[in-house]
Amino acid sequence: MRKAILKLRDGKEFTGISFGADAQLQTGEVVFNTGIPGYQEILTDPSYNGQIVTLTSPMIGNYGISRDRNESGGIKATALIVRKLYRGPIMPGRVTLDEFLKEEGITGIEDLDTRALTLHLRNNGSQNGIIFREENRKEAEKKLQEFPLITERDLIDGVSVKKMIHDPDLGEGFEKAPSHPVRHIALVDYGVKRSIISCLYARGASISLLPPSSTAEDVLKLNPDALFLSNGPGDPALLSGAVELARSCIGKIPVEGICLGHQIITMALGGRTVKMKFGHHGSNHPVRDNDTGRTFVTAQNHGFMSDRSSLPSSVRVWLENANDSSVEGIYSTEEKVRCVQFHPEAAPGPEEAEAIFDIFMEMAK
Amino acid sequence: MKRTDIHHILVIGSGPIVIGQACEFDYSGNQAVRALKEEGYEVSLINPNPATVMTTPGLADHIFLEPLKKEYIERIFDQVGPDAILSTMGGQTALNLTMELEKSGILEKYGVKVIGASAEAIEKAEDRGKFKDIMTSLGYESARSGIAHSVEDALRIKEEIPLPLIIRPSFTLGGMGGSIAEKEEDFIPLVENALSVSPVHEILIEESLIGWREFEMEVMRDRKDNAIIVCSIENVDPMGVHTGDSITIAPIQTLNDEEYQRMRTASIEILRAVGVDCGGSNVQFALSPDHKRMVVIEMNPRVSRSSALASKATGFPIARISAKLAVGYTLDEVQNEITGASVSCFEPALDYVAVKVPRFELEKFPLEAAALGTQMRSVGEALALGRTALESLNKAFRSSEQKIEGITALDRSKYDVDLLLRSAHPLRYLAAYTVIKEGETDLGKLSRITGFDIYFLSLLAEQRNLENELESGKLTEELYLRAKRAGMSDKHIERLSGSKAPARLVPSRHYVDTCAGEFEALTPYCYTSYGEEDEGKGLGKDAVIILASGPNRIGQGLEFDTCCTLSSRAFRKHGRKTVMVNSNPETVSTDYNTSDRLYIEPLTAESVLGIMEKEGTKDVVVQLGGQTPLNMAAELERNGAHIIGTSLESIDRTEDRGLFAQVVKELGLRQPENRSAASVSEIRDKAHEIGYPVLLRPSFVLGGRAMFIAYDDAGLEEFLQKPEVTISKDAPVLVDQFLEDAFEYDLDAVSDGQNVYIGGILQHIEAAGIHSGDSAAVFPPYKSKPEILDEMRSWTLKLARHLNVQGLMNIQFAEKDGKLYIIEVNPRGSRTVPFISKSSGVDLVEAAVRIWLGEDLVKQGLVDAGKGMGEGRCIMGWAIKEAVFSFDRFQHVDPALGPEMRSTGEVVGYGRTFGEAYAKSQAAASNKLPTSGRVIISVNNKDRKTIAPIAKALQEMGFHVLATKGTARDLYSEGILCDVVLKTQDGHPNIVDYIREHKADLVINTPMGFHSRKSDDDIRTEAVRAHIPYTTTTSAAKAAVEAIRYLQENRFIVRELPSRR
Repeated sequence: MRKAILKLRDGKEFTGISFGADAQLQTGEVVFNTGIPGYQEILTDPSYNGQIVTLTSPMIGNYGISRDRNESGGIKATALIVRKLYRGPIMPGRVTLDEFLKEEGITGIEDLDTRALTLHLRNNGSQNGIIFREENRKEAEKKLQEFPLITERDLIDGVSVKKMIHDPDLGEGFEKAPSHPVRHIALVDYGVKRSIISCLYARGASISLLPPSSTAEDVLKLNPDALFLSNGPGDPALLSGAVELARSCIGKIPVEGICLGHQIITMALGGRTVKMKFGHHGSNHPVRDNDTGRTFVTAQNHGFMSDRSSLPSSVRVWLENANDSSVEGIYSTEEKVRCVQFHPEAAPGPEEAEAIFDIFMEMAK
Repeated sequence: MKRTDIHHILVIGSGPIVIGQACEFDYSGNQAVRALKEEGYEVSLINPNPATVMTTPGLADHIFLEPLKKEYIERIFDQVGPDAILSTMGGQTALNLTMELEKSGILEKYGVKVIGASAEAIEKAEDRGKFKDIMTSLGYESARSGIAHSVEDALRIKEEIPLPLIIRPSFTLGGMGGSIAEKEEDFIPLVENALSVSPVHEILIEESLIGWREFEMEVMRDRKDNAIIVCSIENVDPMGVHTGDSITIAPIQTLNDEEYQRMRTASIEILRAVGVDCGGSNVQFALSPDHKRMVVIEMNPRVSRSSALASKATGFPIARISAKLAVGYTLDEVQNEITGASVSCFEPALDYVAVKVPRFELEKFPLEAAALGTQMRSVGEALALGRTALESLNKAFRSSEQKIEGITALDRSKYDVDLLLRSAHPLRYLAAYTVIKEGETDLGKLSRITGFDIYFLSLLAEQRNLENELESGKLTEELYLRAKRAGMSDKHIERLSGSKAPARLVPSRHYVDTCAGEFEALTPYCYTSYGEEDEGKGLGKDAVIILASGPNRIGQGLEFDTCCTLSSRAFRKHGRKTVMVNSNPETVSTDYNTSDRLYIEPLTAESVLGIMEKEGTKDVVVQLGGQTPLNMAAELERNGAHIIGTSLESIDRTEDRGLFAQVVKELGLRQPENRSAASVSEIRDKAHEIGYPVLLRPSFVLGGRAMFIAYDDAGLEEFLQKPEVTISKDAPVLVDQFLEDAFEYDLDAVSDGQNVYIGGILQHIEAAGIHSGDSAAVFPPYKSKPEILDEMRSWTLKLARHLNVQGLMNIQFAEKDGKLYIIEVNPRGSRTVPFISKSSGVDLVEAAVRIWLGEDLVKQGLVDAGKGMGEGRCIMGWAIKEAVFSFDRFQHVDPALGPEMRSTGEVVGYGRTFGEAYAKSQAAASNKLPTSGRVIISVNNKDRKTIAPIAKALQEMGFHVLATKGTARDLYSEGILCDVVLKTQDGHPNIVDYIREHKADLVINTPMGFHSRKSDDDIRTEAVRAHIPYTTTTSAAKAAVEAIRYLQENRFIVRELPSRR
């Protein structure tokens, strides 16, 4: 049992016991997620790239890791913080969370007061933090001071494809590409989750997965039924190329997106995004559909959002958060644009918003 | 949006507490009434349970403590004219009643709409055949099964699905009548029994999923098809144990997101298909141990015990929101009161673990090794919250108040641990711990034997490691902290380590906020843990800590919770802040807005001292929660608590037999001869000294546990053989003169030390020897001489002044041959306080609170200055309290009554005449008094005089009277001719055959003494099985006659409880 320390940029410190790979000055934005099951999906979701994830659910690791359920090639979060790590035996065929972190070279801290950390982040906002051992304190404090803010980091590069792939294979736990596709979607990868592609495959779409640097020309020459902008980590304001891509495609082909993709589309339409105090990270956020009046429970993971007041009048707020009224989805029938802030593919989280993909498919004609 | 087509809603309560239907429906009904009042509706309420908070005047507009029968509901429709009924708040009782009202056309006749769950949805969810079809159409698996209406049907099903088979009757509560047939020869009797208890004579026979994992989802859905999972619950016990009897944990621990979401989606689709569109339901699932097959077990389209548990485990008030949905709102329109910043259309996120441990009455209702099954047997439950699973488990076991300090190994000299491991038994989890503690490391093997998921066994291994470390001796600060964080008590840690805790740790306080910290919590619902940052600050000296009564058990239940709730209201009304401490999730006292602050914590001195420190107050109320708070009062006082009200010294003087005898002597009162014996030979000597019959009881017991009446030496020896009887200097056995044939009384009063206000005097209908909690009782006394009542009053005043009673007191008296005896004095709130308060229109609890706040009884206007005494009167004419039993859950247990309390609940009957009140009390208790038919009488020699006029009256009223030989002979000599029926030992057809074949409509059978007890047992047991009313005393038989007279008039009168005196 070795002690590890988490220090936040505002000076607050928490201690716990390290597990997984050794604590070696891992630095990133500290965020919390309130979902109950789903640590595997969270850890491997590329949107968490660059972030130290705190899980508020206190018992973690109970059911191990199923190798075929990763949302990407491996763990994307910088580090994991939990209240209590389960170290007992698990079902045959699975690996323990501790083993998984070790394999992936990711550090974890257990036995840390995650409730106090969460309340601190709620009251003081998400911020950078560093994980270290007492003997490396000096070095750690220096690194934390110098470490760039999330709004200054390019986090997409390491989690997206370098060149175009057609119909990527997602592995055992996910859908296969359709043998007789009914749509062709150009999906720009800013750190896409496998479940998003899987949901599109399930509805008969074939996918051209494009690198984040792709231009409108790259997209349009594929002659796709729609452009789809994926989720991904970091601040959308850094992605001028992506905004330009979306802007150039809007009006020419249907443009759709999820999470970061939604934020890019917001900007492409002339709107603004703003950083939230601590964001929405969990599996229990109510979203109201302004067209049908229905509310459903969604999985969310975002620290930035569309600024409602900045949206042009041609855009309708399709979906909004039933708690804080923040924008959760927009569309413009005229320009064939539709995107959502939350994660209709869930994983982890409630599956009931999956029907959003039907709407996406419908528009991609 | 709110419905405007309805204006006046009748809420149906659940009636008396029985196993499977307890306080949770007072909690839900109470929330519902409040939610509907907030919306401006006129609200009526029917519930004959006088112990409830919901029937306390002040909340509902019209309160009826009337039987839950359609005839009485119809009269309420006539009298106050509701235009809707809410069917989902009163458990299975209310659902069944709603279906009956619907089918009989009464709802249509009065134009009353059903809100909450439509009759159609109830039908789809409850009819097992229809439900199964729905599952198939949705593509979900259900257990292979068949529906049977007869034994022949059942045998056909058995040909297709092999044993073991689960047998479940349709439309019964708490799985009553359900069983598991493992052997060929058991099958037919179990089928017959199940068919007989189902009101529609329908049973489901299904494949056994014993040993599978069991899960439950608490779901809410509104008319716009918004649906949420409030809470997911995992059973620690595998399939085969009723969920009410299982240790459960929330949220689900062992499912990954994919598996969890599959269950979540299924739950919502099921609600949609069944048509639950304005309320809550629970859906139960079984999962094969390899997680490959998911089978839907059942759903309940109403609030339930698990929804109460889910509400307390998450902070989400299911009943309140259900009521709002029932009147037209949608989930996104209702605010989450806990945060004030979110709507109710979200799913609570937990950053703690909630564990429920059921509480059984193993001493009163002994269980064989494999006794748990599809039928619920536990009488109560305790909930604990902690940051980790092990912490919560340890706390919950401690909270269950079953004399265990958390997870502990069983004593092999007392238990067959290896048998328990393989049995569905309440102690199975602790048996698993026992072998792990002894060194078992193959958790996979243990999982296969016990059916516990390996995860839950790993938690036990973690406990074992910790225990081993503690036992190795060095209690470092670090180890101590780890043990505290694992939920262990100081007592336990000190016992294991053999050393004192290094430095007492102050717990940290956390809030239950429904959102895992994402939003700030506005409501003060707390639990404690160790070694973490504290949230918030104490209420300070202004606050009063109220200790509630913990898990329900026989002798300590809803009545005490109501006292605690009412005291919190009274304190707050008069300007003090309150802190409630309780571990019982079913209760109103643990509702998040009952007190200024609520702690879900074990009711132990250690946790209360921690809370005192956290809140910065020393004032503790111990006299409202029954024996639980009193048991820790001395330890609290030693550690600086200020006990509110009567001093501990005075309490001690009433509880300690020796000291009490002295008090009686000093004041010149009278009590039955009594001795105390510290050895077996001493018991024999003292019994002879006093003379038989004697009442024997171990010291310090509640609800008369192990009490016994010995009529002779043989009886005495039988008592001495009882395993629960321990005899020592510290715990002597009390030997009392038993006042046979005496009349007993209960008196509830409140005192300020100088003045006494008697709420009322209750006279028991059953003769002495039957525990006061089990006896039907009348307020006011129905056959007593005024001078005896006056004597009671003057004795009460003497005692109150002498003991300087500050607050509530209860005294039990007995009268024999014109002489008054004092049986016992309890200087605390009693079971009958809510009953007396309602029936007299004076809230005794509020009166006590006002005394504690310095306002004496004269200032309160309850006692005239200078008189010293005041007394209430029954404002309802006659009020009869009848005890309700759950014997039909324990078919092998003799339902005879004695000095040991056996009842689980109570009802009241109000009437202008004694007969009306008694008839209603029986109807409310579901004792079906006949208005015609056969009466069988078999009474002992001394009752033969008193029975004659009763038999005569019954004949005159048109009954066919039969009697056993001796009784018939004596009746003949009194000029009453009746047919003779054989006694059980005299051949066939005998009295038991008559009962079994439903050829009797009323049985009067008084105990024949020690030697024919076996035959008496058979008679009563069969009567319970056949649901035929039986009485064991002639006074109850006489009351029955008067009641039958009222029933024969065929009038159903309903009486509204006045809102003011």
